[in-house]
Amino acid sequence: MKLTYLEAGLGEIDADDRFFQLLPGMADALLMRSVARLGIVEPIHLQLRVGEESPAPRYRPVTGFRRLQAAAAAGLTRIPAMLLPRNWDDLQAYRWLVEQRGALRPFSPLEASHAIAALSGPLSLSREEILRTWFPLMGLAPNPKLFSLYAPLRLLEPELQSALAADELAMETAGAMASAEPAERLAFWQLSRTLRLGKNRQREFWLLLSDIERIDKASLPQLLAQPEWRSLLEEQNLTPSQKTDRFKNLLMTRRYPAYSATLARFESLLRSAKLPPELHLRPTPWFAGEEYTVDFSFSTPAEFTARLETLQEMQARGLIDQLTELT
Amino acid sequence: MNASRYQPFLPDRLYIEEAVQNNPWTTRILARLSKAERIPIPDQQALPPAPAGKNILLSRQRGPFLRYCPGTSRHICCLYHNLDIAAGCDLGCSYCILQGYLNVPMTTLYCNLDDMFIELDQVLDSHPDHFYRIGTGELSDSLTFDHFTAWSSDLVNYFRQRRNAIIELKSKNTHIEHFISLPHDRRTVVSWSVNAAAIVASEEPHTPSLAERLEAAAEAQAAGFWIGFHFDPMIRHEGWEEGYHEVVEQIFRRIEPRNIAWISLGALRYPPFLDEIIRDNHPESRIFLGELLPGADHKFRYFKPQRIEMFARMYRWIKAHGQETPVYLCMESDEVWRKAFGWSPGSSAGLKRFLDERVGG
Ligand code: SF4
Repeated sequence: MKLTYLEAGLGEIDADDRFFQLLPGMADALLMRSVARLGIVEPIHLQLRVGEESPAPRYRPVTGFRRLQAAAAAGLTRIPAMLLPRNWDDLQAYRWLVEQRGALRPFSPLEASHAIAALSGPLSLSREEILRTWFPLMGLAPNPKLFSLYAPLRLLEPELQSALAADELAMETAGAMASAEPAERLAFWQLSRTLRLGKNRQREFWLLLSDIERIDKASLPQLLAQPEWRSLLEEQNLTPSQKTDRFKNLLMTRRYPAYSATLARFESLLRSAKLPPELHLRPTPWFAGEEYTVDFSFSTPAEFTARLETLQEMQARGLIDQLTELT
Repeated sequence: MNASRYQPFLPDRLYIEEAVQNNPWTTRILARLSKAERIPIPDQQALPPAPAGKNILLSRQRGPFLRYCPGTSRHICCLYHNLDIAAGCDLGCSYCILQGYLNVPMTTLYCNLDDMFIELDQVLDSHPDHFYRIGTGELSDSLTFDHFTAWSSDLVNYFRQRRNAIIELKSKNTHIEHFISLPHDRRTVVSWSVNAAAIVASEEPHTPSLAERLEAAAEAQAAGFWIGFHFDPMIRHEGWEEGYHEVVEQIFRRIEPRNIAWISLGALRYPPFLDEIIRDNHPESRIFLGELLPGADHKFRYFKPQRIEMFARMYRWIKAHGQETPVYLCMESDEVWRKAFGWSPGSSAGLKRFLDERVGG
């Protein structure tokens, strides 16, 4: 394989051709300053555009998209470049690109997503072929689940892609969001930022919300516009974590109404029992069994007697009967 | 009458392990599937990864055929035995547990039935006082491949001669032709998994219809077989009461209580890892939208009062046709039994006795 060095005129390079770009993005200020001061230090890679009536510009960028943008902003007219062999077709050029990039570190999910789009779209490769040959080149295990998870990620809005790249958005949630309507995912992302959800909560809330949408036959923006939901989210006197807890309760009530009603009844019985903090009474998780567990602490005989009296009083007031009827 | 939506499964390709190549049960399958491509292989290791099309592996069962039903902790189990003669199914029900459980590379038929009968002889002969209810419907559907295996005939013939065991052929399918006219001495229960019409339509789209299953059940009844029904999994959906009640009525219009070995009820339940699999494989399904919560054995089940309500109503509807028909719950606690039925067998041994007695054990 022979790469040819050349000084390419900026006007000869089709900066709008993003076919080979693995991760869309803009040059940052640091790169802009550096290119303005020093020019392009490391040559970018180009492919000669072939065709009967070779249209201008002659070259397609293969690497160095951000440097190219910085060069244009700095007003450079010529930049150093390496030209890929002329006899390479797009597939060979793409393979070279993926090998180069994959040798440095495994592809990120977003890079993989863009690569999958190029390979399965313009390059017409099958899913099996991409998994078998190209995933290892990307430093990824040839796992069909990864393929399904990564493939739609490039459809996410730039804001969500940035959140994913910055590890602020859980991979699985991003994958699920990618197959939702744009309005849904933007509404969710807005909610996630309002409540400052961590990645585990994002996953949990996304699943609950998706289920509620299907149960209620309503979209997420429609759900969030409901007065009860809106007023909670707009409430000024709650911290994000208080809001998150209340919002979770709201979601549970909608997703599991029968269970939530039982839980609410249990909590109201407990409130009316006015138990001291040293005495705890718990049902089985999710009320799956019929037992209750009581535990209490004491340090004197008088405290011990007081705890027992509290329990006896609960029975005398019929609260124990009501509790056992609950399960 | 509407044409059946069900298409009998016919494989494109048969991978045949060397160990069963000349075995009579393999030969029988090959004779019935003359159009399928045949690929001899030394063993499963030689299988290509994920070949396209409809494939079947004809294999040798290397472990025991007979296994105790795994049951589940803190629940009453009927102490059933599974006979693993096949693993995999073509019917593709959305809730099927096999989606997450099977660790075989493709649908597999274990053709060394000679070994199976030796094993059965050994086990049944060495415990003459123990009664065995045995079924082939755990890792597959008992009849779904029977149109080309005809293994039902071997099983019916074998169990006809056993006093301490009964075989249950549990199915959603209607391939009864290979055993229906055989003598059976009531040592075979032919049972059908049934569900509300809306669930059959949405969650079991590749199966024979309910009417077809009941037609087959009526034929089996006419041939003198014990008949069983399994309402499992019962799924809460809009109109579930009418849906399930109607199935109960349809059953009793065709089948006499004295011929019903048992009716089991089980509500939708699955281990947590299956939730994601069902969502991925069947995104249109709504079954995972129920109030499914983790139980003591960590499986997702409907919130307990909802299960009790479903079972209690079913019990009432079934018992409205007389007290004779035994009804039991699959994998439920003593508490749920008591609250739904007003009685409980108290333990797995109690439930086993209850069912054994019905079929002469
Ligand atoms: S018939 Fe039974 S084994 Fe077959 S797919 Fe349906 S649930 Fe699974």
